[in-house]
Amino acid sequence: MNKNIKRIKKDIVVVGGGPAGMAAAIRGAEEGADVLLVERDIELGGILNQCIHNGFGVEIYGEELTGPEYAERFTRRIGENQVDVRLNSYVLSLQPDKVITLLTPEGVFKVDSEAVVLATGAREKSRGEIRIPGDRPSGVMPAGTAQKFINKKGFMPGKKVFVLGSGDIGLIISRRLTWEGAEVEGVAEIMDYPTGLNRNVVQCLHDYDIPLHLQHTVTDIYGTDRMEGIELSRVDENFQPIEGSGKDIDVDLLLLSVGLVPENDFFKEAGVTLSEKTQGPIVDEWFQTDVPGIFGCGNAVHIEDLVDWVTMDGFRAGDGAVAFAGNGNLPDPDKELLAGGNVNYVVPQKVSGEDAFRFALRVEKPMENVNISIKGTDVSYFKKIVTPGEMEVEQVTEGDLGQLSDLDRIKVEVTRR
Amino acid sequence: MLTKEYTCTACPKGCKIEVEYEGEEIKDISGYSCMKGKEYVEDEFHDPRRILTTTVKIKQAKYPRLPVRTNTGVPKDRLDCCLDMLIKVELEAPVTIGDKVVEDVCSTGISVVASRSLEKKDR
Repeated sequence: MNKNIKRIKKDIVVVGGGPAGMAAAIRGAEEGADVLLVERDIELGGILNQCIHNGFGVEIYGEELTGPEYAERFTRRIGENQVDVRLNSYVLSLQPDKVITLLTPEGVFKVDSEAVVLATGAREKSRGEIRIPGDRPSGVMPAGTAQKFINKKGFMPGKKVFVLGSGDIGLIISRRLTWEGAEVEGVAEIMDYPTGLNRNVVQCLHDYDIPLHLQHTVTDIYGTDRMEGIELSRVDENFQPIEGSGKDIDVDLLLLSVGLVPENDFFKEAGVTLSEKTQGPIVDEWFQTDVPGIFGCGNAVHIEDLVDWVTMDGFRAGDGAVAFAGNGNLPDPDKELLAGGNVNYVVPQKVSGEDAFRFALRVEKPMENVNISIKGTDVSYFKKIVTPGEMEVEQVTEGDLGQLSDLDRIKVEVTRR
Repeated sequence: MLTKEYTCTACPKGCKIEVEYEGEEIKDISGYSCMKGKEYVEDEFHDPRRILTTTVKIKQAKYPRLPVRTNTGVPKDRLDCCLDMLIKVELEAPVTIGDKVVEDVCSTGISVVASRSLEKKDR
């Protein structure tokens, strides 16, 4: 039977047709590579298609586009380039030697590729991952799933709603539900600050008098078939619920906006080393993993805040894939990039030091008037304010590289000025 | 004198800015740490506006809903009127991104436009 499987050859295979994968495919095709783009959905755009609010594209276009508008611009660019796009298609297996088995509406294919870019996005954390006790009625779902129901399918998943988690998805869905006629009873956040953007706290919660319960979490769920209510409790400084602080709130829908996890299954299958911090692959400045020729970009690598950064990382991964497909290698990333004081993580985790690069970091706690700096050098970036909710992205220029040449370990730290 | 408190959205710092006012007139602004903050509350006090993004019904497309938007901010107190109006709209595919869905929505002079293209579904 295997003899009947068609075998094709491609320079680059990109898995995932969201903003990261589209950027990688566009860059690959622009530079003359033969690119195959695999998408499991019926159209390109990924999660952008359900994010109908505006705010996308500020860094790249200087405009506040909606998600579908941003997606359509890139879908058009895919069409203008020679990219072999396979919709409704799925990768069945990925071998470390970059042979891919592909299921498409036209049948099963084996693809021999020079470079693979995995742009598989992320998954929302579910109830099981955060272990909320209680009954198991219907009416508990991740916020992004509710967003898809409302914005693409035209279904309302509930009438009286509580949202756990103050990330941007949780805030934006609160306004969306309010606009569609639901009552949002409140948003709970276990930390003592909201984790989403301040603008969203104001425009999605304050505008509609939706209470934000900081240092609170959901400790019980009631209901047999359909949810009837939840218990909201205050937490102590160790995030443990305080006994006796619980109060019941009647709702028929609990939305979870408690974080995303990179969709990392294909990286594991290909034998790529993952980062414990990000749960995505460890990458270099070209977004190449430690399996030669296998790249990652977008939320599959680490959870980003702005689609603009996702796109730029996708372009960079595309550049890397083109160079690798042409030469069979890239400069050796022999320098580690490490998280120093008040830095939760840095991506990329290693660099060659031979080329200018951008790095992204998240801080551990909010701080004002800080320098983001590379220890032992005078490379430093001043910030009025940093918060864990906002990723910081900085550029190391050609001119800075000289100072890094003697370092094997490059430590990035955030210190008060 | 009356006071109103705002949370500035110009940056992540989110300054709490207090406005003292009489009638339509601002008497004093305090709590801001840059000029962006002062401008933000002046706009919010005199003419708060929000971009509206929602969906309308669409027939013969691959999805039953079409995302739509206003290109400029709608006065905050007109948002409910716009939403009530848009819930009654029903379009038919094909629609092209940027197509006007409603002109002069709720007498604001603002158009609601399609935020994506949707082709007519082939049978």
